[in-house]
This record gives sequence, structure tokens and C-alpha cells, in this order.
Amino acid sequence: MNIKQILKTFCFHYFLIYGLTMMVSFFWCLASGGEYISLDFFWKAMIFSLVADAPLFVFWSRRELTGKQTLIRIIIHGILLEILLPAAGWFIGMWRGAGGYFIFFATVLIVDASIFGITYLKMSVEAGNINTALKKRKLEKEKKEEEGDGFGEDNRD
Amino acid sequence: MRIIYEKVKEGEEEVIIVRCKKVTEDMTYAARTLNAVIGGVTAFKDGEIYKLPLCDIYYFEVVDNNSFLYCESEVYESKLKLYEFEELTYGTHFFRATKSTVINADRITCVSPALYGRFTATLDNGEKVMVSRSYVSSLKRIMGL
Repeated sequence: MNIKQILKTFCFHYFLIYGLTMMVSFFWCLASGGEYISLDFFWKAMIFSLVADAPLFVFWSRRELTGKQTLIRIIIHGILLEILLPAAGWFIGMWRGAGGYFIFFATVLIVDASIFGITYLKMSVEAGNINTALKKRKLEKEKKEEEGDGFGEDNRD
Repeated sequence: MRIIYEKVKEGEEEVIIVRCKKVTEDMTYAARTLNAVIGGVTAFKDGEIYKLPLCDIYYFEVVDNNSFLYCESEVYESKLKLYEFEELTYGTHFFRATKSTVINADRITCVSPALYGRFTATLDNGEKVMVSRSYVSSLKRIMGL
């Protein structure tokens, strides 16, 4: 991705992560006894979202990435998430202790894998639609070739 | 406007005749494009010059500032820049697939999802080429999706 695409995706992801963080925190507080969220939490969550979004820059490249390069960067992105997010999570008080760390680590892993899986499924559907259109076009082309040599008036719109 | 195709005799030169009241810029553009599409793109290989019909070109790629035309099994060099090839093939079934490639959609057999929002297009000759996330919309537009 070039810098323009990165920044566009970065902004979109930032608001998405911030919104989801606040939503999850709100429901977590409700479920765990109705504690109030302090005002500090709002800007802390902003920093948390920035940290969560920052690893996206590993995909920045002037040239088109090959399949292998993309795979390497996906792995680096995952590793960075697992290093930076628990640290940021601890900073805003999302987890404490070894158990908390494990749950947080697993949650990051599951969310990252889910996003990857959902994107792949969405793309599979998109690829299916394109393939159906490709087949249809090929059939139409074959039919047209069978119909004649093409001389005369073209009456198609 | 009516479009009429006339057959020429064997050995006779193929010619584009536009019968109109006034020659407009659009007409000259369309005629020149038609000439390039039918006449072919100039390509080079082993010191020889070739004219390749657009339908024979599978994709166009720029590697380290050098342009290449990929056909079924042959690779030719081209003097065209990426944007020049894009302009030449505007309105045809060619579309920009990545920062450095333009693919002939007529030569795609199927597409499959690849890593990080990209697609892999398999061509008639079995070759696989990448389609970037940002250019998938061009392919979909050609497919009428």
C-alpha cells in the first residue's frame, strides 16, 4: 500500500478501534458490577487505539508487494499487535496479572484471526461473483462467434 | 450512429472509413484507438520489431522502468510507458491491476482471493498475476458488476 492508502485505512481503523474499545469497555463495566468509567479512560482509549492501529504501517511500500513479502508483513503485523496491545492495555487498566495477560493476548489473537477470516470470506464471495461474470462473458463470446462472420450492420446497443 | 462492417478482398488493405458531417475530436480519438487496437502494438524481441494485436496480449508490466508485453508464451519489450499503454487501451478490456501491470480481462480464466485483500487472476495460459485491492473495482466494472 502507498502512504495515501495507508493513511486512509489508518483513519478508518482508528475510529473503528476507538468505537469498539469504548463499547466493549462499557459493556464490560456493566457486566462486572456497574463501575463507572473515569474521564481519564477516554483519552487513554484514544492512545490505545493509536497503538493498535500503528502496526498497519508495516504494509507501507512504494512497490507492489509479492505474496511472500505480504505474508512476512502479516506475521510482523501480528507480532507487533501482540507486543504493543498488551502494553497499551495494561496502561489503560484493561488487564492485571498473568491470567489477565493471557486472556488479553488470546483476545488479540482471536480478533486478529477473525478479521483475517472475515476478509477472506468476503473476498471469496467477491471472487465467486467475478468468476460467474467471467464464465457468462466467455459463453456470450463463443455464441457470438458461432452466429456468423460479423459482417454487415451492428445493431447492438 | 450506425456501425457497418464490410469485407475486403484478399490482399486488399484494411481501412477505417468514418462517414460523417464533421470530424470531431472524439471521432479522431476513436479512429486512432481503433487503428491501434486492430493494427497492433509495436513490440521488440531479439532485435526484431513486431506488431501485436491487443487480443494477443495477456498483460503489460513495467519492471525497473522497462516495459514488457506478455503473450501466451512469448515476452516482448515495449517502448510504451504504463500510462501510454493505459491510454491506448482505454475503453477496451484492459484494466490496471497493480501499480505496474495492466491486464487483459478477456484472458482471465478465474480469480481467487489472495493475502491482504488482493486477488490472484489465473490467465488462459495458466499464468497467475496479482490484482491489487485498489484496482479490483476496475475489473468488476468491466465484468458489469
